[in-house]
Amino acid sequence: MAPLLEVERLGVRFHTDGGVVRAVDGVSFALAHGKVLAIVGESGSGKSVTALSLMGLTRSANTELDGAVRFDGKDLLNAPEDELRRVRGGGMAMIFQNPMTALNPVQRVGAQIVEQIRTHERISRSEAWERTVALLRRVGIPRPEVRARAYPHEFSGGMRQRVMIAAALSCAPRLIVADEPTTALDVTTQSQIMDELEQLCRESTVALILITHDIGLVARMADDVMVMYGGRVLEHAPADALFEDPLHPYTWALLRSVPRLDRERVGRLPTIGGSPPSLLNPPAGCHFRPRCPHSFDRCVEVPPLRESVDPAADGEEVRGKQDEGHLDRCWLDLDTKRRLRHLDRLDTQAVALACTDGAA
Amino acid sequence: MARFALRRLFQAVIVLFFVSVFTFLIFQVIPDGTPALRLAGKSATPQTIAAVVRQWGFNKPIWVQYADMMGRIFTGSVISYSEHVNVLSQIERGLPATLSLAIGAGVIWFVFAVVVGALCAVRAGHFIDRLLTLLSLTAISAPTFVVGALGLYFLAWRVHVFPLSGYVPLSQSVGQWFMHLVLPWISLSVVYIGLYSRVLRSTMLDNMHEDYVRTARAKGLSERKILIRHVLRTSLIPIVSMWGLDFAGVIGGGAILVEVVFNLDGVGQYAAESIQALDVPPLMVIVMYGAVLVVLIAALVDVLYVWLDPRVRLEA
Ligand SMILES: Nc1ncnc2c1ncn2[C@@H]1O[C@H](COP(=O)(O)OP(=O)(O)OP(=O)(O)O)[C@@H](O)[C@H]1O
Ligand SMILES: [Mg+2]
Repeated sequence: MAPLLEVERLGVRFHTDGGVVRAVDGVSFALAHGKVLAIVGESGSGKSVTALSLMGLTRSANTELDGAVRFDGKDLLNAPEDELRRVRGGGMAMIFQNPMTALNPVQRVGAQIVEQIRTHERISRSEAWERTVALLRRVGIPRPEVRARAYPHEFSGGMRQRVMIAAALSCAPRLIVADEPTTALDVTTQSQIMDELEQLCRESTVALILITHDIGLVARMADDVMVMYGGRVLEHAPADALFEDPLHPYTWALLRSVPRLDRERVGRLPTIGGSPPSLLNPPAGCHFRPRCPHSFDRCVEVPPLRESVDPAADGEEVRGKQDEGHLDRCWLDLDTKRRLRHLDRLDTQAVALACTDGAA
Repeated sequence: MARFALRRLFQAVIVLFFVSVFTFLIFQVIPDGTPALRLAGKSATPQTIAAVVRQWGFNKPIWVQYADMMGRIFTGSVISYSEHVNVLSQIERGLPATLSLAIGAGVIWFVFAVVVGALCAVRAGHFIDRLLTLLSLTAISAPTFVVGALGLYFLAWRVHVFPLSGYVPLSQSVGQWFMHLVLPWISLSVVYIGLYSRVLRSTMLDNMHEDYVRTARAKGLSERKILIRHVLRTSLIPIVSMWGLDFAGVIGGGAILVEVVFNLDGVGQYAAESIQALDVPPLMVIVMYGAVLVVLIAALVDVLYVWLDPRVRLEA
């Protein structure tokens, strides 16, 4: 079956007063029906811009987009605005980071969902209202007939995010893009909401793109993981492969900064030294080079995103004993990476364990 | 909501009380304390003066005079000094002109401000925005009487588009009523259109970058619906509250100048004439009725405000 979403060499450039910001640079990936793709990476790595660009929400006079975004086989990147509007909130829905500001403060929450339903379907106001109430019940809002008439400020953050989820589900989407949906919420609410979101996605086989800083959440939910840095994808792999055999030095650094429950730590969690690259003026070659402890002369060229191959078998390229579809963007060869990772003392099994523990 | 209304009512009564005391003191006590002399005429004998004093109650203590005056205001039986006519009937005569002027201008300046402000916001930075910005700034700095005088000179005197002055009742001729009011409306509205459209433009530009607008776009709404239902709707909140205050201000005084300039013979003009004649009773009545109206409008605007911005309800 053809993938639900195919992104090909997506590029997003913002023309600003300070110059051209290359926020997304040649991002490609595919997502099958009902699968969960997690996008991780530090702040400013281009995750949100990627997500917004999928449904044309970065379009503006100062934005230059290239590549292709095919949803259900149709290219959205160059689609006319009215075609795009049919997809937005219909086939593809979005949940934003901050539920406190994502709802219109002067409109009843029910009306905001009804508005979305009636944008996409020709049904009566009362039918749309009934469906809204049913949706609110489904996402766990008590007394939904009453609460639908309330205003956003009468809800807690968690409840508002449930409203956003209900809105996202309202027109039977095939893909939900959730951009840090729980970052603004407290820890208990976070895990409740994510449990519910996961279950809702599974039971209606909706595909999910989940942007998050929470590696534990990734371990628990994701089928695939994409690691972004400086607008590029540095590693893209099935979740278990990424946790057991992470291949990019940036991914190691990310995983090392995960809090661990299994080991007592003295002092602070290790953070990644240095700061993310300026996208106005990025370093030449691999974007991670200035911060990478393992960089060498070749790193001034941009490495391709590809499956690591074992060049050991002379000339004939032999794939390492790794999962298929495990892509990374680094010049080091497979054996060196694994050796360096070992020397770096990144205990991948412990990380995987910590992640799943943290999620449990 | 009931408690909110009750508190508002209490506040209104307090406000009206103070307004009445101050007005009474200003008009009754300060301008030369013996109105009886004026009332009795130039060649009055002491007996006539004494009779006048007794008739009007000027010999009573000041708070009794105040109470009498309030009582008469409430029963609508105040008689003016200068013509000895019932003030209320005079006011009733002028009311249609004043209300036509104030309400018409209020509606005009609100509607035009919304259109101009929204247009500027949507076309921010383009030619039309710059042009309207220039016009708005000119309008804000033009005093009402200048606009009125210019309008009169060019559109009524040089080119006879509009009549020079006077008021024609709505019941008599809708067309004439309208034509007689166009210039007064414009001179009263221009400043407010300029001011409100500026405020609306900047509020809308701010609100366009709000998260909920992005949400609306992500829901698949058309740009027009986003603009009207989400951006404009929330941006009306500040100018509605401004409108309440300014409309009350027009009723409570701003209209006088325009009524006089265009000789509309409304309540404002009656007030102006009474001031010139130092005729206290009509002034008392006009000020008190004006105050009641202003307080009522303020309460109405509060209700409107709560409807526009539900977040206010919690604070009530
Ligand atoms: N409209 C815009 N104009 C100019 N630059 C922009 C715009 N939107 C985003 N950027 C820049 O693009 C880069 C990527 O931003 P993005 O929001 O995608 O990061 P992110 O990975 O989502 O980070 P976070 O984890 O903090 O949400 C940032 O450097 C940001 O400043
Ligand atoms: Mg982001």
